[in-house]
Amino acid sequence: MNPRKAALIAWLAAACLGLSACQHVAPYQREALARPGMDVKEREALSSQFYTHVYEAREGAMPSSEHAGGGCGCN
Amino acid sequence: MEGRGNYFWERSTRVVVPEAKLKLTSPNGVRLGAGYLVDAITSASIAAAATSDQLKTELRHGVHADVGKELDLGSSELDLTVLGAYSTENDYRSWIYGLRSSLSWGERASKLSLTASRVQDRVLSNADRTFDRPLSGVTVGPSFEQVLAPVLVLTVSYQLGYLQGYLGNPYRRAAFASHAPEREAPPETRLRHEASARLAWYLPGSRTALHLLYSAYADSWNIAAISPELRVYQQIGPDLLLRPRYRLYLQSAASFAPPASGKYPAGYLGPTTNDPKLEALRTHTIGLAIEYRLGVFADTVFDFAKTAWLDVGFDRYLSNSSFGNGIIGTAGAVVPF
Repeated sequence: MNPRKAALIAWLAAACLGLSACQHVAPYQREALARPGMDVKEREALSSQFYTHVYEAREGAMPSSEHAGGGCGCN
Repeated sequence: MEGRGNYFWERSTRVVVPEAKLKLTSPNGVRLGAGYLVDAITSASIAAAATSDQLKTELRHGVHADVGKELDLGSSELDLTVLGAYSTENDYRSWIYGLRSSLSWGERASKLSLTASRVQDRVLSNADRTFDRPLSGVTVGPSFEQVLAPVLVLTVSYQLGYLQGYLGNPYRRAAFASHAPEREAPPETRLRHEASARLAWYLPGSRTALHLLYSAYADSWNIAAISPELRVYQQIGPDLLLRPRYRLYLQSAASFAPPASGKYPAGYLGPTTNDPKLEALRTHTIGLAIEYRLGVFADTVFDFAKTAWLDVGFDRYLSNSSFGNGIIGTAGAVVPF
């Protein structure tokens, strides 16, 4: 399948799933979301930046301007 | 407080990045963050008149800081953060500043975020002291996070980016069939679109969290890319977490990538490049990370460290580009006080 079509289909599927979320989940029901395997955003923030830097240096997708340029042959 | 050591190794390049980050929260809720890193890049270069490759090491220093605060709006919460970063090496300077904002409602079950940032770079060349070109750009992007169920969270994001200036590498030479190589000259503007989604699902019976990530990318250089990724977080006992992962990246070539011969034909006057990452390529990342929380220190003299995390990760990076395969290693410690 063409990468553009595959991307569009996956994006629409994710958006539909998100928009269909009508069930309200109260805070006391969210214990599982605080587990170490779910609550990873803060813990992985710094290491994720390094992975992103490696990918931006070795893959053609244009880096976002949130990451400093240069390094790793990026420029 | 967090300290990390990162490592990337491939056939022609070694990158070692030690970094540290500090976050403080004042009693009135103002958050301050600051960080510093050194990028030590060692690469092989064929020096003029040399008969073998020589290793050359360059250092990049980077600092960043941010200030933020969450404001209680009654039935919702507004979080605002301003950030800035500066990076310097002997042939590159980069300034970044921006704003992150997020609005949460429904007892934080829904969160809408908006990020905007601007970059202002200077591209220099050690081989040509007269080369000094600007590069600037902006990135804006909304993101929406929704708790779908007690064990399910979905995040969808979109990001628009625009860069203007010298977007090549002053050391790279494009090859021509009719004459000697010239410094590569890609288009001077680039517009990017990136949509991404992350679905996190917790399985209480096995204490497993599955994270499915998907990203789709397209830009004005005619590069299109998709990147699905699966991460599995498996908790073992109270303090140990294993995280195997697999990421696939597929990309089409830039419209001005050189032909299969590697040389632009005689009379070609369009944009040029000799960048291997602008060709059609496929990469795989297969890795394992281990995280360990120092819960054993609870109720000891080191009780302050009981919520600290240590982690180590190893990834094999497989690429069919001429950069070849690589290894990514990370190790770090997060110590809350």
